[in-house]
Amino acid sequence: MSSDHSAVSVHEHPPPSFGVPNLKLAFWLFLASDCMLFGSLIATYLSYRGKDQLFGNGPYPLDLFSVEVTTISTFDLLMSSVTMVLAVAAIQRGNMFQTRLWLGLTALLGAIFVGFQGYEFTHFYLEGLKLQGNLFGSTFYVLTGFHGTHVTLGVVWLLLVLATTFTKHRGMVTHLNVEVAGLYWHFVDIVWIVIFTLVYLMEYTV
Amino acid sequence: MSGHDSHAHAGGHDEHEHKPTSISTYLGVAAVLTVLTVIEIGPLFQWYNLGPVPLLVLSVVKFALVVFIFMHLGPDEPIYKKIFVPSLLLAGLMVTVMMLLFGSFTRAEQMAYKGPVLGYVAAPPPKVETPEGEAGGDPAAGGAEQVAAAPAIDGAEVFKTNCVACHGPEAKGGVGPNLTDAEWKNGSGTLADIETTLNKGVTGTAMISWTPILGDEKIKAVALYVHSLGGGK
Repeated sequence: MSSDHSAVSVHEHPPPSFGVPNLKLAFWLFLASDCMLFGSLIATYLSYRGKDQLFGNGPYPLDLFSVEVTTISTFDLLMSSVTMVLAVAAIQRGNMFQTRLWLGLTALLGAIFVGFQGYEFTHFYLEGLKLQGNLFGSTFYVLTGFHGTHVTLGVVWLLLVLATTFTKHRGMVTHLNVEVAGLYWHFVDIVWIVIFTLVYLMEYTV
Repeated sequence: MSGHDSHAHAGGHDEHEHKPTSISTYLGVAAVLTVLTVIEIGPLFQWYNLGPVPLLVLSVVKFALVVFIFMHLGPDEPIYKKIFVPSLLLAGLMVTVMMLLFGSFTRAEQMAYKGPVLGYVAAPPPKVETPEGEAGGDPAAGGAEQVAAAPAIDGAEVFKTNCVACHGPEAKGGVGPNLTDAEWKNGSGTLADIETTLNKGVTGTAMISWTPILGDEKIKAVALYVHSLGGGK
């Protein structure tokens, strides 16, 4: 009896208790908790939004935001979600060439997004927006910084998956593993959809 | 293998059970996401204006498309929805409650009127009573407040406290128009016209009537300041 059980757990995943893969279940739990992380950062940003103006303590969002940069980086991240689903679809069909192609493109688009953020942060900092300078600076850098860190980790993750397909461990790159990497990637994208609207677009409306 | 019977088998199958979403569905969603984003960025380039509500709706639609189709939350096992959706709603509730607590749904100008937020003081009024102020003023304890209002008011200070949120720190415009050029949306840029706009506001915009908030003295001071910015006639 016990030897039967151990034989199973050595060669396969542990039996799923909820009838779904444990990895995916655990990952959705992580995403749920990450929701709360970004929820609190967004809540902080929005709570302090516009308060600097009351004290005349600039710079303010509209002094710094660059329409073109944000538009391009937003499109870039949105399109990376498309290449990601194509990668997941490709591994499901067992097409390794396309899996590598789309994974690589997704990582590239993600890296471009991080590059845009690096440019934005540098530009804002030189314009006088400091982490400890005013409420906008603190809340903006912390919120978008956490998001950028997520994107960066996602790029590393995707590159590791991509690299693994070229090694003798390529058997580890299963549909499930690529799908979970995709879940993370899409989550990072939806967080940006929210940030883009609440932080950037709302500044341009009355 | 088909979508409808997968729930009945929730007990013992792997992730390959579901009918995969077709590539054309993904590309269709990608096209919709692109169109929605183009609609969203219109206000950035001042092609047109979108209120906060349409912007939020667009954002929620994009969010839902990615979560339910790209992340397969729609066709996938219900347990994932049970984990993710309540957490998402809780996060949304937290954001709303925090914003309510911090008065984010109150207009900035009303916040300025209500005075210090969270114990900070915007611009501490000088407590020193000037002799001129005492001459006509009430010598009682309430005098300090009147002193701050009575002598020559700095229009630039009034502008900094009340107007920069919309017109920008250098009055070069933001949500509200640029006040330093010769173009005037309301009136012709004379001192009297600027005062009228300040007193009456502009219907349908964020420019409210400032008389009840600032009072005549401050209105005159800030009108003089705006008139002096370069666009005045």
